[in-house]
Amino acid sequence: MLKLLCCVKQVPDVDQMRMDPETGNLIRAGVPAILNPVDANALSAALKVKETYGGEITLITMGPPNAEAVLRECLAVGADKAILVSDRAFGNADTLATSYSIASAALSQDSYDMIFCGKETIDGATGQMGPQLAERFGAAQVSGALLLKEVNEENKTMIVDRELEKGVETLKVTLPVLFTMEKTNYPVRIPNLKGKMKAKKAEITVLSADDIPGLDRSRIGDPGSPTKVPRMFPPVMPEPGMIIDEGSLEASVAKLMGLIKE
Amino acid sequence: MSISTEFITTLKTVLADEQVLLNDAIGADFAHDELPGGQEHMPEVVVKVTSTEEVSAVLKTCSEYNIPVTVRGAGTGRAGGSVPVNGGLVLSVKEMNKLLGFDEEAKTITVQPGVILQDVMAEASSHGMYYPPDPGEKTATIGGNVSTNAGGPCATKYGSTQDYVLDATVVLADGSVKKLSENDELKNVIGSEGTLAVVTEITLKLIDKPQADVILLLPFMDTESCINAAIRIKEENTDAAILEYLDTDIVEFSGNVTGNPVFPIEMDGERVGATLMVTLEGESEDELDEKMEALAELSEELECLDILVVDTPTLKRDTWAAHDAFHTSTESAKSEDEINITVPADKMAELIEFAKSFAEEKGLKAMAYSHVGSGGLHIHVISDMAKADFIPVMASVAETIYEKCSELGGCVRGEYGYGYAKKSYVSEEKRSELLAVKAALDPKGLMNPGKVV
Repeated sequence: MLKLLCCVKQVPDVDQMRMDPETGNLIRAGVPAILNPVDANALSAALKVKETYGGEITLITMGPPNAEAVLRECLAVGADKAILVSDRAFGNADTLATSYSIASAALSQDSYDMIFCGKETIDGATGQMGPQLAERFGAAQVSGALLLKEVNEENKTMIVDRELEKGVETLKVTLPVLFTMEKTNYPVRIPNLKGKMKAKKAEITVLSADDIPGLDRSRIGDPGSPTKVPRMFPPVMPEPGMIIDEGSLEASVAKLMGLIKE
Repeated sequence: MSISTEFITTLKTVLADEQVLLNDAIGADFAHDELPGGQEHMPEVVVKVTSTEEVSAVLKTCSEYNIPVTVRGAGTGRAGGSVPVNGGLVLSVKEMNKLLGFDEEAKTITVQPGVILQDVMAEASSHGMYYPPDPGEKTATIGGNVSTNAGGPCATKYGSTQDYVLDATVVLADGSVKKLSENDELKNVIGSEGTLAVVTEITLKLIDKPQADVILLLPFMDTESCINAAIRIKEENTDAAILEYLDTDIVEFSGNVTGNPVFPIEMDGERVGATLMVTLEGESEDELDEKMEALAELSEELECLDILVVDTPTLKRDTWAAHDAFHTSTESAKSEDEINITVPADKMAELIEFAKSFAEEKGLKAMAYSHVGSGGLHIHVISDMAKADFIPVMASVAETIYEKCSELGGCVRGEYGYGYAKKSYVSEEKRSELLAVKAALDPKGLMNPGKVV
């Protein structure tokens, strides 16, 4: 049976988020938390593999206790198990510490044939987590994966289409493999009522730092993070453009000429 | 109709020169709205007004010179309502787009008619309130919504524009200004498609935004079971805010165009016939859960294939984006048109099946979605035919569907109004009723002639 791991993240709904221009801090109050959108596509890809070849999907996320909401959202569409890595000790982690923590937690529970990640998150948008995790899992790495096909469980190989800047590359890879998934080809699944009810009652494995055997505390959280973010600031937006529609081409051109002269 | 130099000179005494467009300065868009296959009717003069006073001065001048007046907002109508079929003057209120006031305590917003719907909704939302009427075209002006009495999906629970207009300032054909407040005269003006008066200020009622909501998608094998389920859900008094029938053909077509299908097309290898989109609202998540459980119990007798739950902000946004794309995605077809009518819910399935098979007989493809609760039905017709070949075939298909609609007790006016495209379907009784009102308000018949009355 294929063992599939899907890494997901709870992120603020950036469409509803504002930044304090003075402090540079994100104003999170009143902003709902959502599942990172492309992680839902990654989960759909995992579900498709499970439906086609059989297997078991384990979810993993790192975050505060309320991050279990996104795990339940994913369980509702057909994932089988979920791990929440949650402890204050993991706080203020950069990608290096996060990938170490997530890989350590996941490997403390099982080994995996395929690992699925969204290409990047909408909050940090580093795109570093997938490649780092691939290293930590000792897995082949296919970033920007488009289509997963021809899984050969016996030979532990599969074929993957991967997006390039100008075209598509078809790769034959050996398992274990980690994909960072694009949005295309694997539409987000909508849960049904039965799935929602089941997910509501599902048991989630919560792992603290103490629950992960052999975890090196100097490599997690703030102490394990060489990258510091001293300050954030909103991007300087250009002045909004202006549409000149005076009802006719002549009138619009005349208006434009007038503005240029001004 | 020919406009005299004297009339233009008089107009320019009440408006600045740049507010009066003549000849080549009149853009081609003023000759039509978004009625597919509509005729071009150029106005002789376009005036761009910004205030009640200017509207009054223009109408007074038009009345003196007997010049017909057609009011135009964003021009997004699909029945030709803002098209100057008799030429004359087009009064553009697009630049009357100011938010005049927001009363948090009274829960009202006062706007000029050129404010677009999405700005009213956003303003209400920023105060934690809600303006429900939404015909789908969010760049339509509020003035246009008032003139057609727009409704939309949530009319099932919340009613249409007329239920939200508390008072309005209107200018009559002779230039006189009146303030109307929740009386019969105001009711007459709403939905009169610009044939009685020009609305220049509108105070709209807002309501509290529901604390929680969920969209449920119920796929069915066919149209009939889908619409029957909607009727049953309404009868059960589930307080559903939206009961939307979605034909899988339009879901699939639109999904292919946008790349955002969302709604189910197949289930367990079988093609879904139609999906019912239900929105439930509540004051808490617990209340929503109770409502969902009640619907789940009912679903056993509804013959639905599943109940899908859209309850996250991302999925809700995707779902509405997919729904809103129905009426824009069909524009990608080589030829397209839309039939918008109102049909009693218990006759809706019959009409949809009839329309789809009749269109197919004529070599066209008809796809539908509808607001079952309020009866609003949108039938989009597409074809690979060249436009010139498509227009006459479409006209005969539309005529047959309109006849069927009337036979089933429906109304061809739909949500876009009669405009000029459907004016021949106004009943004699309705016309006489409207004429009596018009005689008092616009005795010279100058307001939007060639339309509903």
